Amino acid sequence: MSGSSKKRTFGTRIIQAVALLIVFLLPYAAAKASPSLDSGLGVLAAVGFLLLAGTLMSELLETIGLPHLSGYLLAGILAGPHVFHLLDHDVVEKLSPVNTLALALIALAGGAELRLTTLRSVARSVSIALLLQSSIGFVVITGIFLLVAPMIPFASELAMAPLFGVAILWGVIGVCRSPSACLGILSQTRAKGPLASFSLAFIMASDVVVVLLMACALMIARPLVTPGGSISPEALNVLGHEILGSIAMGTTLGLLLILYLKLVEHNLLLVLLVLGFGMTEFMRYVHIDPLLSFMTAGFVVMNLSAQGEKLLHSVENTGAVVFVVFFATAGAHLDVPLLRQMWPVALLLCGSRAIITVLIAIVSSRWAKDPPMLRRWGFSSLVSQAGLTLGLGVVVARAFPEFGEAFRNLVIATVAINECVGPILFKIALDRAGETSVEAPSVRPSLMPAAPPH
Amino acid sequence: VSSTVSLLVALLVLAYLGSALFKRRATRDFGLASGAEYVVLGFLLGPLLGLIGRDLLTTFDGMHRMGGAWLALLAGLGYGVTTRRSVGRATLGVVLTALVGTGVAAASWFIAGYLWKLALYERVLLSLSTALLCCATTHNVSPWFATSHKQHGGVTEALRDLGRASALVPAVVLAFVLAIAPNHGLDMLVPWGRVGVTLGTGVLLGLLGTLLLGSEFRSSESWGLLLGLAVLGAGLGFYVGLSAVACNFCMGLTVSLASRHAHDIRAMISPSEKAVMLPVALLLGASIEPESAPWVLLAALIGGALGARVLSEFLRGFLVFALLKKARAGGPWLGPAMTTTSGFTLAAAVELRHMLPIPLGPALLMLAALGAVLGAVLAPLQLRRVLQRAGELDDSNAPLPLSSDSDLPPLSEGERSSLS
Repeated sequence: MSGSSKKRTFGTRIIQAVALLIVFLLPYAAAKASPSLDSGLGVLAAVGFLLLAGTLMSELLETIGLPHLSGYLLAGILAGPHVFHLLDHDVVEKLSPVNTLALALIALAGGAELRLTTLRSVARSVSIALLLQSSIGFVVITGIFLLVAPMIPFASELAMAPLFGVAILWGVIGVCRSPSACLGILSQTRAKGPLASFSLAFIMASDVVVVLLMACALMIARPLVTPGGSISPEALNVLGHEILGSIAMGTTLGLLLILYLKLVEHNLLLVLLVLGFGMTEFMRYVHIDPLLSFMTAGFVVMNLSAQGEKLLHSVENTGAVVFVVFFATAGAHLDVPLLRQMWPVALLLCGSRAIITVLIAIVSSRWAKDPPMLRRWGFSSLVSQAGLTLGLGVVVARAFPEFGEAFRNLVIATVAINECVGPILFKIALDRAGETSVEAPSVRPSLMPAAPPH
Repeated sequence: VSSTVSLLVALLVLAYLGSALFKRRATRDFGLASGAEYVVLGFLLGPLLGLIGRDLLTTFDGMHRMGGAWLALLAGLGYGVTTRRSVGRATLGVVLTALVGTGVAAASWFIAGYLWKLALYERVLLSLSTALLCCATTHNVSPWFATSHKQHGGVTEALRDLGRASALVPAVVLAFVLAIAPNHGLDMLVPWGRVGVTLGTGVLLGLLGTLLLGSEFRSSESWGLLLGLAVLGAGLGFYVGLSAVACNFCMGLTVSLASRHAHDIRAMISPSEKAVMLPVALLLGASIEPESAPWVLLAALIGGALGARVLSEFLRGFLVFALLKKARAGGPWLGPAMTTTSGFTLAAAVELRHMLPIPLGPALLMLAALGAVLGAVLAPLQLRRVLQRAGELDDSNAPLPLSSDSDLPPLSEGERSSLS
């Protein structure tokens, strides 16, 4: 689980391996011993299984230097509908409330990690990187999609205008990052330093940019893809309201949290559960973006009060359990047969995206005069893709039913690769940058301000 | 906003209140130890006013049963604590619980046969189920009562230990009842084999927990681990149709007996008891189906079982007075003070409601609900007399202890903040 950085003995690892085997065997035996029950495990057994298997797998993979997140994902993939079939599709779908809670916690923690002092110290690096990654990255990834379109079944049949529309949408998907993966790795490693600060600030800011980009892309793509469609600036109007509303709601929530933390403080776990489930539902109902709202709330608590550390500590304690299930469920969600079918084109798209990201990161780092370590590893956190990207895939699928499902499948296939590779890369980078070498404290401090660039 | 989320938020708020009751000095006097007032509230909101409909309750079935299984885990941990303190007292608690259960089972056997006209198999199911629902008493009513009145003593401790020990008998009986009940997945096993699987799975998970918790206690990791084990145990129980409650009880008992961190673990998770019990009690009240059987039959069964329980409790009280020196100061009329319903009983009732056919399941749920209310009325009255007689009640302004579990070591400031 997050935060356990203490060295384990060989005996402990053996116990964990045996325990993992038993945890896999128990549901397997239950399913085999009950042939009359044709469905997979129930939701509760699935939650317990994923929590235990994810935790144990992550502990075991830690011995070869892999991040905990990879362990959670691997446990989910193995247990999922396409490998051992301990969990079926229905159960995996029913676990979606865990995602709701996890995303709320991730956003809250992400906002709380953004200290103004940290932001100031990496403001130049982040601004330049964000500008280049979101503009040049978007344009080049769009271009690459146009180039490889003949290899993609649903795109090869499209005329030039609709293909261009689809490519624009893919460009936005390409510049989307993973806040959950970034926070998951930072939470496990308790990394401190310029790379950790840069990655966190960049990814959180990039979230907002990607949401805006997707709204614009949808607006532009609609007349290109749909015959007779026209550009509607109304969409931007709605988006503006949504963003302003989210910030206002987040600020209010943040102030209320400050009051609660100051006056009451107890039972934060239950408060976070109410926020995660109740407030998310309410925000969706009033068309406010929960991710942005929670991020704002976390930011307000951290920067406008002295209660930030308490909030962060509590979110981490709650998240320690929730994130395991969240990422393990994401692993179970991975469509292995689809990946097997689309892997050449998915690999091509992922590879080109990674190369472009690295090149742009090098250029932006030089422009921003970043320290050498950031120049070398600044790209490492930008490869991961997860929930947000999948969410955008769903948005496109709903907006363009004519090709949406195939587009979404391609998104799933690429996310599958980036989700597995990205966290490992980021962990290696943090290790190499020497930002994970600090012994874990009992209560994790927020990320310290990065050292000024030399 | 969907009604499911609204009810979920309401339950979380209730859990918050429950947790606050446990922690806060100012509010500790409010709320009965068995959560009976929440059973009544659930009944008002559900069957009476119709604010919580059947469909909505179905959505929460899994959560409701998981809450029950968590209470069973706590009960298992508690039984282990008592056994470590005094094997003799734990054994006495088990024997006396079996005695009360036998009395109730005999009464309901008669009612099930002559009034309900049930077949032999259903008579067995019903009489064993009523017995297990009526034989356990709660470990926290006397500390709750005494803490509210700022006093502790031998009778309080004896009642608490007997209460904790009383969960073993119904756990085993519950495992047996669900092993012989229809709708389970392990068809190839004989009933005793299914009982073995239920209890064995609990023991296996408990041993796994003990081994994984290792030599050093880390509360943040232990939470995830225990939660994972408990949810897996409960989930497997639901999946194959065996008792998740008995499985988790065994798991808690095993951890409590085998782990060197038993006290730390109990200290860590015992604040969750009230927080879980209140939503479970509310949903239990809302799940009552008064129309599930003719009211005459229901009244006969419930009246007979509860009447038999009260009589048996008198006998239990006399025997405690006769056999337990520490409790002698309370006098021979201890029995009615032990009529309170425990969290374990609520958990068992929830499980029986889901696993036994209609009208047995709903009738047993109603029995548990009314038993909780009866205990909440009867027990505090008698307990006050008993504790006064033992000199364990006064109205001085002595400071309150932090925890009502006096057998636990006092917590450090750091532990308190980590628990909160």
